[in-house]
Amino acid sequence: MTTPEFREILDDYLSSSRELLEKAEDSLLSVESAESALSAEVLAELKRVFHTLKGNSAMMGFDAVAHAAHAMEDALAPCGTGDAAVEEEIVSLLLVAIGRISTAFRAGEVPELAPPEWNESLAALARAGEAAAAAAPGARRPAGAPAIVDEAIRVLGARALSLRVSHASLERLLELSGELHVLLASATERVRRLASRVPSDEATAASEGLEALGRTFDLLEHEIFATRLVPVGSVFSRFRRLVRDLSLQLGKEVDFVVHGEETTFDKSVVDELGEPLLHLVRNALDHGIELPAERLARGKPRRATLTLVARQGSNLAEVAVLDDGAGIDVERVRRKAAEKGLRVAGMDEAALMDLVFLPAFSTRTGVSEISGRGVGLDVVKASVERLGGSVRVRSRPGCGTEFRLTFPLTLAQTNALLVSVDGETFALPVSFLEETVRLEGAELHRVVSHGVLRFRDRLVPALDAGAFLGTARVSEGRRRFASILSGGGRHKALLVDRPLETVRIVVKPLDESLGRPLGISGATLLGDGRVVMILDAIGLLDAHLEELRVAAGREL
Amino acid sequence: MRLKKVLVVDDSELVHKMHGLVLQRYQRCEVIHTYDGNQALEALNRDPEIQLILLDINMPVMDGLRFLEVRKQTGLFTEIPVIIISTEGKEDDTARGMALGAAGYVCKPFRPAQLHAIIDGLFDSRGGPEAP
Repeated sequence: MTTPEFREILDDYLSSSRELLEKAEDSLLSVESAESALSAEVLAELKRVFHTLKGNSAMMGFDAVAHAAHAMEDALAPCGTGDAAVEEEIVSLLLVAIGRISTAFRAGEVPELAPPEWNESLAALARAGEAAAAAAPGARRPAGAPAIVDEAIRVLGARALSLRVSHASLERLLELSGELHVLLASATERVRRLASRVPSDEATAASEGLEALGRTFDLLEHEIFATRLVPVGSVFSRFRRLVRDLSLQLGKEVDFVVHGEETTFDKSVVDELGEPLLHLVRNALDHGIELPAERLARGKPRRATLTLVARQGSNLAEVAVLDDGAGIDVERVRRKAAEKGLRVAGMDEAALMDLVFLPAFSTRTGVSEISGRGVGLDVVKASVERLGGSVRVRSRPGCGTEFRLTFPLTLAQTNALLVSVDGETFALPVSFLEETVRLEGAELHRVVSHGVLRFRDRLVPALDAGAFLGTARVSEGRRRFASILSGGGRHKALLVDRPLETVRIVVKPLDESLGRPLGISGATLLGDGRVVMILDAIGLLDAHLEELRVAAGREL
Repeated sequence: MRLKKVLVVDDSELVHKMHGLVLQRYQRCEVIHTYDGNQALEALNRDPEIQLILLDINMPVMDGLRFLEVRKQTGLFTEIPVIIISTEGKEDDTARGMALGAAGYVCKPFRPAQLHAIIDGLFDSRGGPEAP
């Protein structure tokens, strides 16, 4: 059947079928790992999923899928009677069937005729069903329905609770909100200047009116951002199956634990989070977690634990991937770095571990079919940074590894400190700014090849903003202030001429043709109409890597 | 009589999309989307201009058969014809639905022409729907 309507709906059918299969798979995996029981609700939910898939497929004329869905729905019939052995077998067979059918949907092709492996799987299900039916005659029918008329009266008084909104609408709302913000800031600024140049009651009233408008707008904007928040659990659930299959393949025994699935992130982050998390999970399973025998030999429990956790702070949201595996061998990293001719003499452990994010920097000597050859981590870092976040790694040899991804809660806007450097103004995002201190002169030292600042009984690497950004040549002692950046456990002092005010800015990404200039993460439009570059706080915190690249004179 | 407003009751978003496309192209009628019998009753209560109901049987909260039972026993909305959207393998349900007062049914997968024919049959040009 290829009516025009059919063609228009095909994509929807494919994606909805994929979702339905994922949902069923997730439920079944949960039951299989004994995290949930095959309760009446779970069973009803599964039947619904298969039934919907059957109905949709029948509507589209995909009889092979409709037939398969029907068979899977029927297969659930003997379940719920409390026979654990029967249920276990059926759950397992269903997972196999779903896996085979899902393959077709992932490839985007729906078969007209059922392929042999489907038939094989469905036949096995049918056999299991027959065996169960023979063993346990008849299931009880559920109790009768309440009085019909009473229900009608109850129902007609009910209210609808939620509304469906398209993604396109949400994007548009965000765009308009951003434009409105800029217009409002500009108008507020102009009226303020007018009021100060030509003071009058009207001008003051106008200025106050705009400020009130601004405050209300902030509230509106907050609500708009809130509509975009989506629980991260939808991404996490995909990994259950992957961890199970991959650990079986690798011969490792892994418990998969998830915390904080209800934590919400901006929709655009959740949409893109899957890829980087996938790399990290694969890495942990492939490189981090040891084989059972090795773990026992080290006095560790046979089963390893892989944890995915999400949590929310006041300004930031974090996702972490933790494993209790072998950890990163820092000495190997140091040796490898030396081999590549990098000067790592002054580096502490944390800085050395960051080297794993450099492309083609892998401590594995062989090529692994599963994770590739260390290509994953630099891609993870790039993906996360593209989303406005940052990633850092922490590890203890023999104990385990943690990769922590941090994202600002709202992506499009942020508070920033304006700073002046060599006559130019730059914006520094406040979420990475710990403090700005005045330099009295003697605190700046030169240690090895870079400057160091004493800040609260600690030595913090210092970077001259002008030198880094290319606005002027550095000259010691000229900068009067240092903005202390902190993020991911690292600190860096950025030497500037003068801090200006803190403002709320709308982050505008740079045009792609400009690439990613060193130290700049975007631009913003100030209320007075000036375009100001936003400093890349994450890049600055990582600056030692950039320096290495430059020093090495080649891509690493 | 021109068909202007149709209520579709089905828990599958995809089915709604399909019906939406088919019906909008046919006489450009407006489609109201609901996802269970509960919501369908609410919609009928709110909107007196609904002329036709396309009903799925298997839905959560209140299924199609229960909806038909409520409609029959209370006498509410009986002047609005119901067409059952039937699935293969559920002929029993379809038969029970017909016994509960549905005017007709279409089987998945249905050609738009089939739906048009049934609608034309119900809303013939002499005006007004035939008695259900």
